[in-house]
Amino acid sequence: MTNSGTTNSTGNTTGSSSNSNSGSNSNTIDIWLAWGGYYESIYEEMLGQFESQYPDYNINYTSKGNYRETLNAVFTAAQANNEPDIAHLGSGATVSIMDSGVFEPISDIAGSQFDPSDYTGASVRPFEIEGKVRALPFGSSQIIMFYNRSLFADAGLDPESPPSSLEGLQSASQTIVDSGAAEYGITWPNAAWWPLSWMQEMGQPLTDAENGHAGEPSTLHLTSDASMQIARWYEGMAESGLYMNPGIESWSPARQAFITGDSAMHMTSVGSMAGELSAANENGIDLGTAALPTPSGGGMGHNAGTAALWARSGLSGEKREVVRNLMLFLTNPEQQAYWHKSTGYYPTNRGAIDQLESEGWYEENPAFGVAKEQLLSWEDSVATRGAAMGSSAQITRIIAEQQERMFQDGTDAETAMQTAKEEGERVLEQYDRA
Amino acid sequence: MNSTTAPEMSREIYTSNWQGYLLLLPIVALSLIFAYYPALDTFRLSLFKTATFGLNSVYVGFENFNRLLSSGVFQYSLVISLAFAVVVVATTLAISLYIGYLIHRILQGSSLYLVAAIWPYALPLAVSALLLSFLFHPTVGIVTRALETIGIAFQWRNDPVLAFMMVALATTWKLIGYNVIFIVGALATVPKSLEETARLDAVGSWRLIRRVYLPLISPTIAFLIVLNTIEALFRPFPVVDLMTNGGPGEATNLIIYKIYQDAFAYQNLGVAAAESIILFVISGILMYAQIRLSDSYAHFG
Repeated sequence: MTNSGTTNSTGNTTGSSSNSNSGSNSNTIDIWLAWGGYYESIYEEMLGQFESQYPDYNINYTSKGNYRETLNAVFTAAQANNEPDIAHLGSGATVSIMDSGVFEPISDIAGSQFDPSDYTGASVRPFEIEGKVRALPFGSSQIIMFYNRSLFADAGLDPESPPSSLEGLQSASQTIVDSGAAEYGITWPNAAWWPLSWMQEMGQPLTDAENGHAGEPSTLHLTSDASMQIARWYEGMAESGLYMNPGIESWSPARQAFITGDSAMHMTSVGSMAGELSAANENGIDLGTAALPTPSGGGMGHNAGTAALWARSGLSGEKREVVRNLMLFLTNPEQQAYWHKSTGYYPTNRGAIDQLESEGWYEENPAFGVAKEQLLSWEDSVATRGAAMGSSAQITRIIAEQQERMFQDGTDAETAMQTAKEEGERVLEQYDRA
Repeated sequence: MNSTTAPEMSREIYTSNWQGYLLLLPIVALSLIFAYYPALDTFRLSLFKTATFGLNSVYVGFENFNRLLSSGVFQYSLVISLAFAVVVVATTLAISLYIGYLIHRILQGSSLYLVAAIWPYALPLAVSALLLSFLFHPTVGIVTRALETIGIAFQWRNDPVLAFMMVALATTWKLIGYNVIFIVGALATVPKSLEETARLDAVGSWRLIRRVYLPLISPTIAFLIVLNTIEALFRPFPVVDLMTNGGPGEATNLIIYKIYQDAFAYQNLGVAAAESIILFVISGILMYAQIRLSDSYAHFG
């Protein structure tokens, strides 16, 4: 009964739904999910369960590669009115997806059946833009810190109390490097995710217009006190040789440096926790897990909207209901708990967390418990919802590039952030919200 | 257009015009569909402001061009692309000439050396880039480790100049094979007697190359300069994508990579189209200048 669909990475018309009008009313639901390979059997399991509840409907699922490839495929298909009924897209493009008009906000299609408070605030509130929740969060991730407990012990640090503030992180790194326990204190990929998350922790929005959630932003607060405090600290960590810079978006070199023991600490996405745990296990690393250290040691949390499900606009009748039900099904407590256990992506549904708790999952897997505490301690505010910008991908890239300048050609933190602000605002200005 | 009025006195074998046009049709159709139409459409697209991969397009005239030409990031990308072309063309030609001359001088087994020299050309550029990435991997690369043991930290991913050099190296590596084929071929056309005469006059190798061989093979060199420039401007995309992602900073953000980023990462087709038009115009001017320049230098026998 399970229809595994066509894994067609280039073509947009996949057999069964070649005509848009009959497609949107037929009994076939096209769903495009990001990531293939390992994930496909998990998707099949989840979709198969739904299909058995709706024997009249045929779920046609296609894997389109990563978030970016899926997004480009959706936009290309939409030009021929051939977009899928449900698409799984990364959060970096939320505003441009919203502006494309291809999708209907989840708060419209699901109405009273959808209660945002069923979902963790950190994962659902980032999608609330101009008064409507635009998409249904399907996976969430935040930044998490891993540390090598034996290197901590070698350096004379207490493996039971990892640093929780940036200052503490710096002094722990200094102790590690001075003691010769490791070449570097810490490493993480150069990406805007870190400074922007720290700004959120400090309650500093990135942009005006309520961080872009109330309207079109035009100013970037990259030279604010909070941002400068972070940039100067980051610059100092690199200058004093405590931070190993693996390069822009260099996720695996950062992990390698940690696994090989070159660095005693490593920060990465909760989404890659499963991989990190097994790599540490294989290499005999006594792994410690801690929440993202913050500027003050405490904080308001940072957003966790990683990817979401979007519903095609223009659906009607029974099919619209089935599409809505499928989306709600994929994010219900059981499915989200299953998704979490199979992939490591964090559940977006609070019910899933309760279920995992009662199953004793967090006692068996304390590392996931650390991530859960961090996720649930998120406080709702303009800052912690994260910025909603039409040109998000470009702006985060600009920030990372300026940070890279800071590490390489001696550009100071002030100049780097000023340049990022100017270049970024020029990009913001070019974008017009629909 | 019709064959009925074909000139009576024609002594050509093919007297049918319509058959001629029919034979031309495939190539004309292919060029129209795959070259001219996309080129024209790219120009049309460059006049639009597009945010969602072309879904919501607004006509803005030449605004994309104006913005690009005054954008520091774009200017920087153009400058490093041209610098990249200069470095790649010069290095490729120097190395290929040297290798080509060595192969030319060898009496036995020269075809073996020739095959060895042109082998890298058989690799797709993406594969050479991956190979180099493994060899020079910052933490586990064989070459990097070896350099580390003699005290050199070859951290090219974090160093703008080294990263630029690595991208140039991968591109050059690939081009050398192609160049060597032409140079060996050209050298073979130089009369042996010239070399013998020069040798009798006790002319050294370096002078022999400079005074005898180079002038005689200069048409080939001119051709290779033009071709290598095109390669260096349009081909290095996979190398940048696989090795540096345009970084560190923007040190290897070559224009051909930036076009891809703007189009497929930022969904901004209009800007990307304008960038490719600018690249097209610049490379057109360059080709013209090079051909004119080499016309006056090259010695066409």
